[in-house]
Amino acid sequence: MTEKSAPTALSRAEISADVLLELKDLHTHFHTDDGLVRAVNGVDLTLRRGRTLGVVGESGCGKTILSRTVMRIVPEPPASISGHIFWHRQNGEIVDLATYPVKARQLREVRGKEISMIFQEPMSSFSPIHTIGNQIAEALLVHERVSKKEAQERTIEMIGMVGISQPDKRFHAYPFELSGGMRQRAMIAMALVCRPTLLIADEPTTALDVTVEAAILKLIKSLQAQLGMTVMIITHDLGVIAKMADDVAVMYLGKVVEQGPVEAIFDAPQHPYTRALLKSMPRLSNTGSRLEAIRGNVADPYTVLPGCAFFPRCGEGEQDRCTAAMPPLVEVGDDHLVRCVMREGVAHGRGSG
Amino acid sequence: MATYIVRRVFYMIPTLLVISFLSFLIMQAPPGDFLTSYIAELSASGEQVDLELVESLRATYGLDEPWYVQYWLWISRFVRGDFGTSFEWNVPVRELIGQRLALTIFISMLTLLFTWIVALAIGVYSAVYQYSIGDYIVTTIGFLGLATPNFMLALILMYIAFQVFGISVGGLFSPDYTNAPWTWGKFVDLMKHVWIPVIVIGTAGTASLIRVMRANLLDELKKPYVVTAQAKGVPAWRALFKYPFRVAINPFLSTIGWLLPALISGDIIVSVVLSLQTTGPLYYRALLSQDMFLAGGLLMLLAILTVIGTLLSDILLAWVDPRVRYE
Amino acid sequence: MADPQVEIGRSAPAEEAGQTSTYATASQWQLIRRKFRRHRLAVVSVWVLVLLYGMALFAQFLSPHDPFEFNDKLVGAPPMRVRIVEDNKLQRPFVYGYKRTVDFATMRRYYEVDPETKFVIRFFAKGFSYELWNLFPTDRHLLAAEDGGYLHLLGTDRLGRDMVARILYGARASLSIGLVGVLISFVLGLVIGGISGLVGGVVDDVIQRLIEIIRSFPTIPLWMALAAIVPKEWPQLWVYFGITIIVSLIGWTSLARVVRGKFLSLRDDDYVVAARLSGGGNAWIIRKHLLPAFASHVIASLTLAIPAMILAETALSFLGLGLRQPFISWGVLLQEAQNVRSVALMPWVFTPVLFIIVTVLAFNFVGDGMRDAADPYA
Repeated sequence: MTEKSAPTALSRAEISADVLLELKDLHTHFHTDDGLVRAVNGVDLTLRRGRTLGVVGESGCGKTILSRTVMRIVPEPPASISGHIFWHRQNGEIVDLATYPVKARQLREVRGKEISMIFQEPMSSFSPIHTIGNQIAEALLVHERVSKKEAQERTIEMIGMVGISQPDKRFHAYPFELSGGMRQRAMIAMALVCRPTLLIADEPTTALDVTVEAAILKLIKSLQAQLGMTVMIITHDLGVIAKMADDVAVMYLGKVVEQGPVEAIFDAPQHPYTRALLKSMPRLSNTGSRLEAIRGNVADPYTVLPGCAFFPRCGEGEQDRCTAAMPPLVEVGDDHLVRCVMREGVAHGRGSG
Repeated sequence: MATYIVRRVFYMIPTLLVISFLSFLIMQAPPGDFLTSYIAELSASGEQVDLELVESLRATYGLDEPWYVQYWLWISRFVRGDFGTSFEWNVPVRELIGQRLALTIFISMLTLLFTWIVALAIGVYSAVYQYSIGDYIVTTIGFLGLATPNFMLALILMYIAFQVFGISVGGLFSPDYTNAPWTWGKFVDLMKHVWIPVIVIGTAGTASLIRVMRANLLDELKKPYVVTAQAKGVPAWRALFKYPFRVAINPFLSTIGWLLPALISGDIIVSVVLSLQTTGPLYYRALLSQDMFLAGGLLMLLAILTVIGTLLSDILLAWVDPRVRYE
Repeated sequence: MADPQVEIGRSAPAEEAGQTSTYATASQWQLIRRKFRRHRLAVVSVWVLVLLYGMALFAQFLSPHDPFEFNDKLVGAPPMRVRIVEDNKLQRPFVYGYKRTVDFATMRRYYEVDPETKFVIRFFAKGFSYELWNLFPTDRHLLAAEDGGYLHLLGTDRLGRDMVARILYGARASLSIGLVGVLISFVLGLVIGGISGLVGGVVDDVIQRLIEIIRSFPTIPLWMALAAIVPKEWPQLWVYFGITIIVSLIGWTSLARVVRGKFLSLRDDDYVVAARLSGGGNAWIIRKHLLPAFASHVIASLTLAIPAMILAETALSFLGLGLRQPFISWGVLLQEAQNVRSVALMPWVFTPVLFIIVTVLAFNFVGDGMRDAADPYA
């Protein structure tokens, strides 16, 4: 495949100790009754320590499956995973998470301990019949040799850290006794209680009020600074990206179509899809003009057309060039890559640096 | 929790009232009062009718009074444990029922236990290994179990026991023990006989409970909190039993509300076929001979049993599920 | 916020609309049918049921013998095997008669195949006279043995009556009880559940409590008690309806719950609120929005209620508390099979059970398929 030769998210020189996670040609395919769904279809990404990567795209573009593939918590079968997930462990060891069988102990050791996740739906993501404290402390009990008492103490401390008042009382509360925002805080506490190096936040604020959203995002940011975490945030909301991310990857139909530093993506978007997403985002500066919707829907995942998947909805393409083959990722600026044949000329014109 | 129990017990009162009323209605349903038919029957068989006794009975049960007085007389005695007299057997209903009711309760409890254990194990298996060969086999057997009438299963099992093991399996005791006082030997003998009715009565319930458990667990397995547990690095078996299993078992517990009436229903038919010394055949005979005090009393007692069973299961449910408790 | 999720189908460019139009325009019932077809067992079961009800409908035509006719030469005879080969030559289908020997010590009869008596099977042959559906007098039957012979493909019962004919006639009562019973349950459930869901408040509370109480009653004893007070002098048809009503008295409760639950959940559903806000009247909303939304659920629950009723009739008749001789139902037929001795000596009197099991299974599968298909958008 053409992607193989394409450079990864960073200039090669920078691939060094500060790399935390590398995805190489990652595929997650679902074998369903209706056909094969290529939810993640050849993704190359690199996460650097301490930074925040935002993954953005419409519903159905594969961003959630991508995040779950990293943790290997997509159900296999029906899913099958190929490619590489190079994870740089806390002890310096580099392991490929994609190679382990799905029930492997090595995977369990990483999950919840080194990589943690917070989910979109804080209510249903908690068991309704166990207390919050019980569920948060479980991560500690599973991963660390701690007594129940110590686990409880550390859990209460964590509950306090995420800004829930009266943490020792809340420890014994059931999920249905908390508000949505409180539940999301509890979820963050659950994810962070083992002090992971990578936090994956999958649409962490979608189910929340706008006011609560801001508070939760702020909390994630401050905890990131406090604990020195790397964050991967999955969202369809460019506003969240703008607030949180250092780097951005734009996904469309299982592929990264554009990636780069957040400034580059917002100021000089290269891919027509990225531009369309930006145009559909409300801004304070362009009050008065109509928001633009992207034509059509995310295409049917069962049928794969040759060439660029966005072409049917794209206004800029040329039939022959766009449908010939899947365009490779080309570098158009510092760490700024785009998967569009219309930009190939540009890429050759600009050197890196 | 305490307030919950008190509330539930309080709820039982109207239920029991309606039940007693229904039972009374059924007792009253045959044309004429039972005393008249009793006299007619005695005269028909050429026996002497003791008019004095008849008169005293008439007064005791208030047969010349309006129905609500009769109801009141009946129910106030019932509450005190006086269930009236069986006209066919000419003994107090209470004496007739005593041991048989105990055996019915014993068999029902045993069947409940059997049903739950089997259904739980198979239901979990079939949900976890959905669409495996084992799942298909179990589902097929389950459907067959649901579709086969209880009494047929009893006959088939009896036939198999008779042909293959050469034992006659009717009844609950060997002839030696039937009228013997309770000893360890009698208990062992009971256990040797009791498995056939337990399997027969339990099959239909087990079959539907397997489906309930399987469906519940499949629902729960799809819930996000299972993924959360996985994401925490919880081992697979723990992620199954601590979370979805625990949640799925709750509606399962509440099935006792319909399982218990079904078991008692099943017990009636099966015990007629297997001639068990439970309440079933007694009730059946009472109905056939229109011995209405006996029939009404038994119906009432059986209904009370299920109501108490349901209450216990509700309390159990509230104990394991905080959501119910806080409602 | 800025969810770039775009609205669907119709406003999309022409080629897009072309791709999705089959889905976009399929009606609810088309979707239900499509989803139902995926449940293969359910589809097969539908045909099994069509076959069974067809058998009941044409019971007279399909019976080679009169179900009430005693054949004193063949009492409790085993099923006859249809043969097509005699003396190594292909023949018209035929059966052999039986030679009977009686063991006088045990009074047991033994039947041996007797190649001397041979009955050729004729199609559309003459047999006993009947009026099809009380309308068309005829004496034609699908199958019958040639001139005065016997054709007992499933054997005969204790009195020498043909089991095939009895099962076919029994199907009429047993299969119709399920349907009629469900109809009664349906009316009761819809009305009571509808009232409960629509009126709400105290009425709803009382009805719900009542349903709970009725459901906590052990059904069989209650049925038995009710069946026992059906007067013995009643004509057969009355008894039939009496038993049907008794059987349906329990069934309505679950339906009422379904209806009420659906009413309650739909009443506050966004699209119903939207309909009300745009000025739809109550009747209009019920007809246009509520009924279509839960009709499929109701049909599924109804289908699942039928087997319970069939089993209930069987149980009651088996115990002698339901339908009684000379009325024929599958339960009545099973009275013949009340003890282990008959299982051992005349296993063929149990064939009605196979029909009961197949019927109940078929209804369960169809009901399951319908329940899965009831919500085609899920």
